[in-house]
Amino acid sequence: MNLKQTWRYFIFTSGLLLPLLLHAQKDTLPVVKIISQESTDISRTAVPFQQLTKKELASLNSLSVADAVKYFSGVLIKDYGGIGGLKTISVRSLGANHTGIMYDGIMVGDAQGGQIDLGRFSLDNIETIQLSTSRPETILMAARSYASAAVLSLSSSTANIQKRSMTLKLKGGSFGFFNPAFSFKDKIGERFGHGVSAEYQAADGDYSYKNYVAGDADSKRLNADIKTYRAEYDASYLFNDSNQIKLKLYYYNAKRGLPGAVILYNNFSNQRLNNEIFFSQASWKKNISGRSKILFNAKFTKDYKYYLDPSYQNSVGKFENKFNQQELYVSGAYSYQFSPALSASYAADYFNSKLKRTDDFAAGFADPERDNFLYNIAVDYSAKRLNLTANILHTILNERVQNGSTGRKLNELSPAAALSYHFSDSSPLHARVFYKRIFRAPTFDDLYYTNVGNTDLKPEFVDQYNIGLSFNKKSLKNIEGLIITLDIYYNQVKDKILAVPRQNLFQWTMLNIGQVEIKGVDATVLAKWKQLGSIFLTSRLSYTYQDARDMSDPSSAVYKKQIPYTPKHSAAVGIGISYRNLDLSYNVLLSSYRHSLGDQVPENLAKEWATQDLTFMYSLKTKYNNNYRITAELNNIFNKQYEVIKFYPMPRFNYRIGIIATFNQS
Amino acid sequence: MKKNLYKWLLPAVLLMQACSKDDVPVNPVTPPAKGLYAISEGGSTPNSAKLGFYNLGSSTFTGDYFVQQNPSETALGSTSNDAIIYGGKLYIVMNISSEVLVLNAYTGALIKRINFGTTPNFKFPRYAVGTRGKVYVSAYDNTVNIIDTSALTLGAAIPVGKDPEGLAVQGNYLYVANSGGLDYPNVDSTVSVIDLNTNAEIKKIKVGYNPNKVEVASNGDVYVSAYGVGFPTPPAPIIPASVSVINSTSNTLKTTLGGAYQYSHVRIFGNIAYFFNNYGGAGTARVYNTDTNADIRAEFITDGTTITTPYGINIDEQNGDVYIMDAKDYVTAGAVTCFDKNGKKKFTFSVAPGVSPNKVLFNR
Repeated sequence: MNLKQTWRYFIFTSGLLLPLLLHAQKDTLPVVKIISQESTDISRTAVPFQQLTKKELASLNSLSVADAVKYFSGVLIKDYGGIGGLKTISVRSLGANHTGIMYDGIMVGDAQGGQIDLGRFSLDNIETIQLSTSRPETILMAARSYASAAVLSLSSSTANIQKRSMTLKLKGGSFGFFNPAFSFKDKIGERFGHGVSAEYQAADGDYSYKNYVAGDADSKRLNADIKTYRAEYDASYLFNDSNQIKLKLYYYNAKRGLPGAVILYNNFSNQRLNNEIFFSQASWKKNISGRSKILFNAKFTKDYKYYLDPSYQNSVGKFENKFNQQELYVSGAYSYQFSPALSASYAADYFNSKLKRTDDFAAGFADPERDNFLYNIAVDYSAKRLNLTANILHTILNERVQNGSTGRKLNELSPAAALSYHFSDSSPLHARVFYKRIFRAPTFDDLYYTNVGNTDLKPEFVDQYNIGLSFNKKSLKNIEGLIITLDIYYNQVKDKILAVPRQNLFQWTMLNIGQVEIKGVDATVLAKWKQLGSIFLTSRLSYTYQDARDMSDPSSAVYKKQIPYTPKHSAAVGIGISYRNLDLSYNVLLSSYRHSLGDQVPENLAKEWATQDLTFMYSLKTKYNNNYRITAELNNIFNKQYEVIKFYPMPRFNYRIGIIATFNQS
Repeated sequence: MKKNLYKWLLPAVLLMQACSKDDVPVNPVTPPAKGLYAISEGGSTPNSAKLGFYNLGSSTFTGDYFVQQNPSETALGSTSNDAIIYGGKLYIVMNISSEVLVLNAYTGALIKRINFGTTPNFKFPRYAVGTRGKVYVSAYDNTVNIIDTSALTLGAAIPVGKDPEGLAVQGNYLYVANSGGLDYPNVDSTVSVIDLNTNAEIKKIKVGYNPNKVEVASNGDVYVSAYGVGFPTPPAPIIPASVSVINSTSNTLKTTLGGAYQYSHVRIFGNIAYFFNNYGGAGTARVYNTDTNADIRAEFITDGTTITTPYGINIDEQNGDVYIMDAKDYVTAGAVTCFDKNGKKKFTFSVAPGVSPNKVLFNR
């Protein structure tokens, strides 16, 4: 993206805020108003719902959202290793394209690749992470929130301002990791709050790994360095309790080396990837009357990607990709409460996505532009022990290109329904069942990528069926609170878009040839144990079973075989102990073996792995309500060598230490 | 987006032996093969190249013969693009690992890994041919490299055209296809002629676009098959695959076969040429007489056997059996099928865990 333009845009949008700022400064008495994001009771939702709160996030050895969501059940992260390595999420084996990412209530778009790197979201400014098939707490939502098989919703802490505070953070660690961060939040009067968060992250990433060549000394990951800058600004203005506007500006810049897979006898890479993202978003929520509410959202995103292979042996002596992506998004939603039990909502969204190629291949490139129209109707019926929600989403996609042929026009109706039932008022048991049909449109890369894309692609459909039980009890023998959830599901992916080699391994095209059937179990156990002296103990366990089979081609050798990189069993365990000012947590991740390809031969075997991490945190509260914390994260404490993706070795033992100082207005 | 690794040239080494004296095909006394080396270049998982061995006596296949015979070795490496047997040694050209492995051709024991370049200047070798006590290897740094077969060291590099692929020897000349594939779709369309007495390029001959394989017929004609430009998503204009014929006496283009001969791959044994496309298409291979310049059969296979993705053809010169490598979907294990010269299937075997087999060589 053109930096100058971005800057101008930034100035322009902040200019809009000035009157608000001035107005707000008249109120001098800061009044603390608690509108904290309530943590949702995960045992009562009609669709499976998981969340990690700020406190939980602090106890997990996580640097980015990608690390944290590994502790959810039903989630697989494809992790190519290191801080700079790509990390994508697959929920219930549906693939990365089926998970929508929502940032502060508004979807993050990527029409080009559709697989968002979760490593890009540092946890520094993240307050809560929630994962669901949709956001279950309200039906007043943008239509686009219903358009993914799963939604990972991230809430930033600068978007939630309670009082004036400032946080300074400095972290450092293995492999040249250096990470200063700063945030400042201010509440001016009762109505206006704003905050800024800025972070810099750098790492050499040159961790050592056990050499694949037997008997050779350890090797180091090379060209794995990364430098990222992130800045966010949030402002909110509360006209009154039921009328609020919010604004957010976000900038991200990352420059990294791509170490690639370890190639035996030639372990060299000097490929680079730069990414620059800017977005601004605004939302306005108002209760028009006791019964009706409105929500308006708007967002503008610019995304620039630059890829360079400086030793490509063509005549220019390098291979470059430059892509500019832009998205303009507006949404309006209205909800009406007919009776205490029955409410309904209507939402209409429009977004326009554009992709422009500006490298040597620009001349023949399609430069596609897509208009997306989404309309959604949702109803919610909540009787005493019964909750029923249903929605139907209407999607219309139209495309234009500068060169070549366009992709198909789409016009699809996608229904979903969910029911939860509470056995009796005193029963700890809830039952739930849901069905959702959704699709993902072919991405611009699928359709138009030079020499690979195929404009004849159809969308990829997903049907999800789920039944679940949950148990929630406040006090048991030694337990203060216990939540158990168990969900069994069946998913079908049809017309899965797959890259298929056409002429040889290095000439691919995209085809709608895949079909996958997934039978799975997700289980979660959350327990808060009774206080023992000054010791508080919490534990969390999540388990995932995946039977995900390739049903594409009965004549193929991989027919009915488990799809690549999908373990049958995976689990995460977290135990947290608090004693006075000290917090200790112990986190374990486990995965059974997988295969790198559909062929279940030993050659394709990717071994089972487990990691064990420890986090220590020492907190000191001063009488001025300031808070100092020292953290130490010890990762992979038993120094195990493992890989999530074959020939992408993961770091062995590594550590991060940090000092965090928070100054609160008393 | 990755390297345009246009595959597979038959080494023509058997042919070279057959045609070494004044271009008159002779039939040296060749013992029957004891077994077959099957070279699989590997799939999308890195380092999955495989050298397998099929025992013709017991009809058993060893998937990773290289590691079996060399237990201290981890793996062959990444992308075995080509292999030849020359002077009792087996040379395996590893494209992505950028080296040539030299093995004892009888035992499979590793003799040496010859590095093709060092960090960061890797050469990425492609195809090999042996002649005059040397092995010539084309490489993507726009050179043909000479391996001294006794010292097993890398000698001089001969500059040629862009991204050289297949090569073949006829008389005093070495012919190298300059693909320009890494500049796709702005590909090259020449063959470099190297004088083997001076080891220098003497001229370039214009052939079809994106040339790929070079083979010599018993009458001395040099056949060059070329991919053309335009698949799978065509940039305009589409240039179809083609076969060009070079007169090796005058080193000029003799003819380009007609529009019916849109083939990216050619393999010649004596005066019989096999034309095929390694991305499937209609039929498996067309059989053509290079003396009469006419088709022998439009389809080589006569018993209805199907080959999904013909990825390489080799002929056992001792009995005339034809081996066709099937890369299937390039992801799952490939297979090798043996036919008699009349196109009837004799036997088939899977090269599992090998993916994308491109060649068999004969252990006699």
